[in-house]
Amino acid sequence: MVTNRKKICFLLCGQNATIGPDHWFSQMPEVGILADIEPVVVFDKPSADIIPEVWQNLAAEIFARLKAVDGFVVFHDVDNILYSSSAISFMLTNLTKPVIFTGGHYVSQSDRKLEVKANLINAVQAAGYQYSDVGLMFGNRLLRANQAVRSADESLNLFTASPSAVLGRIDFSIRLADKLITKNKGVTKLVADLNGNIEVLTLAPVINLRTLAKKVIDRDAIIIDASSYLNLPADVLFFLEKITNDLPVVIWSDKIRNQIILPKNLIIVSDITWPAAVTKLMWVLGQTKNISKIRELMAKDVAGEIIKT
Amino acid sequence: MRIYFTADNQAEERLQKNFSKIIEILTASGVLIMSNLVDRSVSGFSSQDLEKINQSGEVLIERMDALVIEGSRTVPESGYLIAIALTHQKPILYLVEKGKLLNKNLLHLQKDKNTSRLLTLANYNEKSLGSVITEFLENVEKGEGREVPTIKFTLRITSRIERYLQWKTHNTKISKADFLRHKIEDLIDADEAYQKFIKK
Repeated sequence: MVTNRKKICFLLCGQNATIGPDHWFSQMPEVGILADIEPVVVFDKPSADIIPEVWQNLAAEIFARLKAVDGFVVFHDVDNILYSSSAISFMLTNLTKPVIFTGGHYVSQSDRKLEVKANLINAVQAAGYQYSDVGLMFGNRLLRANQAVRSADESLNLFTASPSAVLGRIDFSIRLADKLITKNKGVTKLVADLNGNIEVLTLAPVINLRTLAKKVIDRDAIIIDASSYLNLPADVLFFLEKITNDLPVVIWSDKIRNQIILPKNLIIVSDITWPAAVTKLMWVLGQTKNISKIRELMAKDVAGEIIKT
Repeated sequence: MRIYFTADNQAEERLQKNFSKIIEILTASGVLIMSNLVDRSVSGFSSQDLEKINQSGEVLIERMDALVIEGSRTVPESGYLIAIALTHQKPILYLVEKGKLLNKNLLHLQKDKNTSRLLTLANYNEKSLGSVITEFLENVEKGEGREVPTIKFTLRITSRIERYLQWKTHNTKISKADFLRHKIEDLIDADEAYQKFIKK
């Protein structure tokens, strides 16, 4: 049994928060075996309605309690969990304690409670170890959150990631991958300025460039999902060079690498997930509007988000 | 039946002998054992099974029928194992040598109506270890943790029946009441019409 009891801050972020932490823990006496829990309600609406201000509140709540607790569990609905967890990984620089996001899939009502409870217990246990990552705990795996993507298969492992982002596996205990977890030392900084004034697009043949030109007039950046393209369409390239030449444009694609001449305001990002790319751009824009600096920061591995194959 | 057995693998030799005895008793009962004390190879699972389990997102405790913990010395991961086993409704036998105190947190869990039916806390010595484990395994086989009889039922019997019950249970560890309960359980299981009825 646990002799030196861990103290875990449990942050509720999503529709489950409406139930209230007291009700939660009265239904789960098992959690009390693992650690002393300090519950905090951050957001009590469906997580599909989350906005960047909620991430800032969440980061501030975590930062305020860093010295007082051993780790953090964020209970979050599945919608937007990848965005939320990625955003937190950027906003808390040099994080020194684990922050573990978890939730449940709600496949069927009868299975839901069990799945949610099991994920929660695994997350509380994982949050008690000494490492400093923002993780995602679902099923039998702990993943680095800002490298995770939704699984194609229907399983309890709701998310997946490259092997170098699997921070832990569960059999009869949680086995952390010592060579992959982060162990930061020193002072954590809260860098929570986020600039959400960006245009988010998916490249498709039906993009109306005239409409787009009007929309981006007051924007601070554009980010384009071009993941299914090998080459940028000529009219889009012309538009980006001539119409938006002072606006940073981030192209998310792992295929568009060797375009011969690219406009100076275009920044290609590849080895990063889409949610991490979007939240990273918001975070970078919160630090600077200089295109060269934005390019530098978007290429830099800030919080373990760059996928190493 | 599959059991996961855990104990402190850094414990002194005297306790290590107890651990071996526990594994011996479990093995003799026909149980497949997985344990942190033995080779990590998984008893009763093929490599394809393990890969399927891994891909499905399940944890191995879900495939166990019960958990046995020898807790005379604190087992570092035992709190987690108990929590996750209770979540998956797995019966747990927590053994502590006679003369040692049971953990307060566990005693508290035993008072909780949701967890008490799954958690058995037992002090043991060399003589009682076998019966403690055997009784636990029998309860696991009954399914759904331990079903505690709570309904009072007065049954007047003939002297003939009384003689038989006395003869049948004399020098056994089973009480007359338990013997009769077992017989009725057997009748329930064998009654096809009733089994069809409850499945409707």
